[in-house]
Amino acid sequence: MFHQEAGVSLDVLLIDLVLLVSVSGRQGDVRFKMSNLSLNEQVLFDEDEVVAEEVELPVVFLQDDDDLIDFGALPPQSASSSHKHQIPDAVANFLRTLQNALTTRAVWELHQLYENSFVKLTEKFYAKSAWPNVESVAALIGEDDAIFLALYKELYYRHIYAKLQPSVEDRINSYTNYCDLFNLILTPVEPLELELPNQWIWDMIDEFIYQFQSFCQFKSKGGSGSAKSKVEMESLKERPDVWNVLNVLNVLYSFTQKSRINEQLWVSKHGGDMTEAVGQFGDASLYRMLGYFSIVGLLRIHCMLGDYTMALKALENIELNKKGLFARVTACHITTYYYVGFSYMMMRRYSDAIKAFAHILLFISRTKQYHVRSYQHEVIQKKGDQMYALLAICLALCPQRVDENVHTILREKYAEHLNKMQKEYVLLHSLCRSNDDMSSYLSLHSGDESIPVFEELFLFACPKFISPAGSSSSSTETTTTGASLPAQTLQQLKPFLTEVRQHHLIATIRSYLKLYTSLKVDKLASFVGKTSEELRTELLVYKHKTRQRRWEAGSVFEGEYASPWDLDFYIKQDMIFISESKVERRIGEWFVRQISKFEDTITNLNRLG
Amino acid sequence: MTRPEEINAIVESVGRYDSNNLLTLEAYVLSQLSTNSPDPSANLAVLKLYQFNPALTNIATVTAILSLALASLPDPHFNLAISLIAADVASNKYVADLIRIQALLESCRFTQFWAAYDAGIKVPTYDAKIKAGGAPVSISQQFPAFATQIRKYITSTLGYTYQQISLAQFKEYVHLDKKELIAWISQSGCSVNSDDVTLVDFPSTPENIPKPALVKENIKFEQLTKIIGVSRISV
Repeated sequence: MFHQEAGVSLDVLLIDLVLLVSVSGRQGDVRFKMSNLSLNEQVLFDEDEVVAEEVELPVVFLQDDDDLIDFGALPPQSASSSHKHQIPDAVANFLRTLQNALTTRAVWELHQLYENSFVKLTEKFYAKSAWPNVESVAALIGEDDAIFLALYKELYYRHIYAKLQPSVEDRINSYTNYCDLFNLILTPVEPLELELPNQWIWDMIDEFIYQFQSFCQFKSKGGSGSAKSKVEMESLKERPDVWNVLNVLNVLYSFTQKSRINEQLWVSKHGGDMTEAVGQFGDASLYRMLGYFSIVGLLRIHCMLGDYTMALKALENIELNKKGLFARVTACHITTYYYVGFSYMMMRRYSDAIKAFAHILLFISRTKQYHVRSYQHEVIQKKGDQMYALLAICLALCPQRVDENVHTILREKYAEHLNKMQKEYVLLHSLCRSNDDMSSYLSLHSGDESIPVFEELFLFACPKFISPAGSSSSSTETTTTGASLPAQTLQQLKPFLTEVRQHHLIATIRSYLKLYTSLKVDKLASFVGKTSEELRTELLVYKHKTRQRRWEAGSVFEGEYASPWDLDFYIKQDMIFISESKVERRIGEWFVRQISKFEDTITNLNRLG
Repeated sequence: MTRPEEINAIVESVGRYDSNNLLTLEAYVLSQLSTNSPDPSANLAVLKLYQFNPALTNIATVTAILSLALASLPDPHFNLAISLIAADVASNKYVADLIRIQALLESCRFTQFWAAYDAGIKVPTYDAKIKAGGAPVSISQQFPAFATQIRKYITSTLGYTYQQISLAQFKEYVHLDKKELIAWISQSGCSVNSDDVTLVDFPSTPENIPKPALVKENIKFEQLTKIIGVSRISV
């Protein structure tokens, strides 16, 4: 009887709570009283535990501070990692729900928990310290869910890398955890019954590569020279497998092979038996996405190692101009284009690089309002800025038309840089009274003025290169401006700057050629201030440099030689004959767009009126 | 240019990261020199192995790869190779020499290039055991087709730029004497101008007869269907 009375009261309380949850629109308002209830009732209603848990949380809510004090679970004060006894209930709740969602494969809920709750809880409790360490969580959740623990550990270390300074031990442990986690995924004979939201999968791979990069940089800096770091370096030497480049590459290759993602992509492009190509593992979405994101991961690592051909080859089955899986996760989308563009630029395919950058920058500017809310906003901003810098460089080396919007923003950011890099001297010529003035001006301002600008932009925008052997020699060299750089960055910068130096007269010649349809070699030589012989050489350079491969069809790696679109010339003995192609203003598309917009406005007006 | 099966198996798979395959790949690089069939991806794979295992770097192979890259101009393989070569290897005198030569070729200073070539470009001979390379020989000894390949590159670049060039200048750029020069001219598809013997004509390619193009807008019908559907036809 007592049972029954209490049962009624429980139902009433439950109804109250449900009403509370639904009435208070904002999540933050709901008071966390459930644990009171469940604590009291659990004693009497063991069999109804399921009910209590169900009501516990369809929605995730934050705990208010005074409630915290009630429970005596205060947020940890210090940055120590031993919170053996004080996991706040909100966090405990979150962890339980997470585990629940993982086992029930509720992907949408996982996405919410991952994107929103994790971030909020981090901000609230762990802004300056680490999440509870794995032992305490294991004590809470239960030891036998290995996958959950491995995933939690990954989040734990990711947080440390993001907000705190990882110690050498952290690095080693994180690496071991990744090995364990990936082994759990890769070794079973049957595909694992696990589903994760795409964002999480991408972040996992992204973080993996980021930690690898961070480790390489840490190692090449050789520590701070203090006694502690010497000990650390020694301990690292004993473990050459930790963050070894071959192991990292192996992981990514294993993912691609296990999921047979390349075969899948090939079949979807060319047609064929998908189920056969896919195999057992490729069918599971976890594996497929892991394989797909690993391809982008490979693109990134090869680029960081300086091997641009392999980078593009990794993407050989992905077509960039079609909507691919990479577009589903914004960060992945942007990363792909950034590295593809950079690889093209280093392979001297400036046309293709410009196309890639313009495409993604247009995408970013069009979807700006959606990004501001996501916590990846900063990352996207930074990459966007870097790509503008690279676009500026490519346009200076290979002038071409780009979309209006992108061009406007580019001018806003880098107008001065562009001017210095392109150096159009024709206006100056009309101001100089004689050719002597002109040549003396030019000799004073020889191409060297633009080199620091190229260097500055390149260093700002280039990825953080790594040297795989990880030599711990603190070999730094200085650049033209006297700044010191790690050896591997300099290794990439040098050929780039040599290339730029060879370009330096091309812009000047171009600006003169634009004015004429035919011109004698000697006359042009006098404009530019060189001898006839030297000028002929420079004209050869012009032709040589502007011939580049351009992507026509097929994989990103292929391309056919094509001459520049806009300005071309040929020499007949001593005469230069110039032809310039003009691009007509494209009005058709603009008009169509305006007409549709107008139509929409009219329809809306009709609807209202 | 066909690649032997076993090399293909190595380069196209994860085997390219296995340093045990190095000797096979190095032998392959050398065979490319004698058959004049540059294989850029295999060569870059070798350089990558050196990047991962700096202790195994063999200077002779590196210089061989760089010479092959030079022969593949105007493709930018040389630059790509340099991106994979660490600073200490790049400061090796033979490698540095080749970098200097490449700079000359890239900036089209052909007369200076030929001067350097005549003065002798040296590369070390290959020895699997001696990482620093064996005794130096001239590049044309190791790579017989080198000069011809470079000449091809020079001629093609000239072909893009000129429709007609004076014979004297052509001779200077290509660095050949009378008899060989005439042979070379006919071999590369050019011809001595029939009217004026001092001129050399280049074959007309799209590059050296540029026509001013007017890029017009091409409005497809599909784009218009949307607006045609909503256009009001007032009666």
